[in-house]
Amino acid sequence: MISIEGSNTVALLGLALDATSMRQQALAQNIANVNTPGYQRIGVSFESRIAELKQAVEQGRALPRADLAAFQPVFEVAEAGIGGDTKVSLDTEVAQMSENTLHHQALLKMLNKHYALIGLALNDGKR
Amino acid sequence: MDYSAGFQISASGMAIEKLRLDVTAANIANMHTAAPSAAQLYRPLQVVGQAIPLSFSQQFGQLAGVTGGGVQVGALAPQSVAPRMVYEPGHPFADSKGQVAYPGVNHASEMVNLSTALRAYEANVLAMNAARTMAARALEIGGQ
Repeated sequence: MISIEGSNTVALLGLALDATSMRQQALAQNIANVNTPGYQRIGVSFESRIAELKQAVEQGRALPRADLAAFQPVFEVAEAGIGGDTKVSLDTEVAQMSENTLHHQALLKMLNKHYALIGLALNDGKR
Repeated sequence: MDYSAGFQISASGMAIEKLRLDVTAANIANMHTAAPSAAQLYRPLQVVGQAIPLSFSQQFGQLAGVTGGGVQVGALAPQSVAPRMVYEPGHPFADSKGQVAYPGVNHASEMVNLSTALRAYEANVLAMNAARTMAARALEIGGQ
């Protein structure tokens, strides 16, 4: 059964949308500083920290709503890549940006579907 | 999300790449600008960027009131290149040995700067378009 305000879907999609929009800012920052000497590229840490949330969803438990703030995405100085390289490479950034935009659109689509489902219920199943 | 932050970051990136283009153009334009003494000679310039760190509040995932991010001009530094000496005894600025000092503009590196700045500018435009697409799509939440 869907509950409108206490929905796992909306809470999780909200977090993931925050992550994609922050990642867009991080990528824009990296691209703006592509010619800055000594600049270290930044990223967003989110997916690696949500194992606990994943487990809760898989077991059908309610999310630890009060602790959801702990799972908020954060900016981080990206880990060094091959050969300790933290420099910006333009092609990687642009590729990641289009992936991020697509991911953002997929999340929005899911949010829309969720609200459409609730709308359907509100209309007694009539379109 | 504060979409204007993303726009501002990309705008600052575009501004600095444009400045890089301007400085390269000035260097090339002054390639043949001789001067009566070495001190008055045009020195080829280069733009040194400096990152503006993303603001403190953003570090804790608070997306409201986002400021900072982007790039600013750290320095407009003269390149440390020796003047190009040309033997032109008839030139009004020639020294006692008939040598005239011209700025030591390096053609190859200026052209490389030019295309690097151009590509970086394009990438910034791309980033801004991506932010705009995301903002436009977010407005469609709850629509049919």
